[in-house]
Amino acid sequence: MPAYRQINEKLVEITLDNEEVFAKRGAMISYQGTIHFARSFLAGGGVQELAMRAVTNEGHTLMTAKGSGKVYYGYDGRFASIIDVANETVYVESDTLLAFDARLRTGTMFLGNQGGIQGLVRGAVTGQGLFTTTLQGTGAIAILSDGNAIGLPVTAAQPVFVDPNAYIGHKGNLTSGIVTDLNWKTFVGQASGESYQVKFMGQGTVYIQASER
Amino acid sequence: MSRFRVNTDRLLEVSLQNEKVLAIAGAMVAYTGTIKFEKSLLGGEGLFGALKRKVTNEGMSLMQTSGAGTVYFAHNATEITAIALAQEKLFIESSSLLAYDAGLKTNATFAGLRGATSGQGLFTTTVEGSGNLAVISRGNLIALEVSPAHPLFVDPDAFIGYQGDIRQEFVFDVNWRTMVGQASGESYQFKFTGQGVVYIQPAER
Repeated sequence: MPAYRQINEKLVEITLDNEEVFAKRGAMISYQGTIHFARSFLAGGGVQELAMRAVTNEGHTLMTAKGSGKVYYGYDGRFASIIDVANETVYVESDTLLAFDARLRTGTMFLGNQGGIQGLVRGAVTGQGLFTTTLQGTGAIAILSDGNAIGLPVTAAQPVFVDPNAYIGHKGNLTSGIVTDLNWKTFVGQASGESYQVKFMGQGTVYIQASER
Repeated sequence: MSRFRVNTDRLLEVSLQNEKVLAIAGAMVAYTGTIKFEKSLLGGEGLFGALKRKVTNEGMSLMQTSGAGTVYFAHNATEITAIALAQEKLFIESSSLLAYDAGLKTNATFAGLRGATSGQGLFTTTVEGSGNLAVISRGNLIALEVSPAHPLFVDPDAFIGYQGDIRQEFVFDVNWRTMVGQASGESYQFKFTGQGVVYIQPAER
């Protein structure tokens, strides 16, 4: 299976042994070995999935790298991190997705399916739109962030609250909801700047970046 | 006392046990536990302090964070350094202060005439007492020592703050070349003399 290795904070190396990975178009920095790059229309998802992405704006222009050797990926000086996926589903915004292995199944998820009205509200207030990208299976992905990406563990005993502008993705068995922290000060123009948060409950990991969009 | 820990250079982790921390409004990225965020109306400096900040432009838009749990702060992916003060006084640009213990006392003080040319204003912020604070900088914060035998010269655009028994002056390096438009780009500096530490960043504003 493709082996992911972090070279430094901003560069990821993927070793291929007659395998295939998908990556953000233009993210390849260099490679060694015999590797072919091609634009990928379907990204392993089939026609229906392509149509779904087109209408939901969760579009990602991908390229595939196929062959044997090492490929180095980086993008625009942004920070890159590797997330291992072990028979679970990862939710990320399509524009933060740097690379993922072809064994993972991608999908487009309607936030309303996940959190009902709360999910819709979350998409609307965070400016993330109403859809998000899902990756399912076993393998690894590489994501991009502004500043280091940090994974915060969520357990049943300890929910995690996240600023929607710093949220980049999550994995595991989590449910989310919007929490507001409004008081009289908010209404007289003295908001703390932290008036709403996304609350994650369950078992899994939430990824945040050290910056607010 | 609240505990400050920097996680991967750009994220500050603050553990609270029914304590209060003041931070730049909007700098929270995540938290666990029971934490409340409120706009700090007077910044803990009383009515007079708030008024002074308004007039001196050394303004800080702060929020008060209180409760029990862990709060994560970050600011535009800039580097963060935690500094502990033990009955000490730190001079710092208000725009570089990310968070501090509510137990520390802050004030706006006159910094001398340097501000007019450096664009940093005539006033600077002082933080005094015992507790933790976190400083943001573009690139890792660098601490340079100043001793009586070795005064230090700093580019005003890279200056962040200083600590200790230090006197600050403004020096010019202007000659005929500057006048005919051939400046080296380093025509004025801060000169620090005395005993203490000066903090700078490897970037110029």
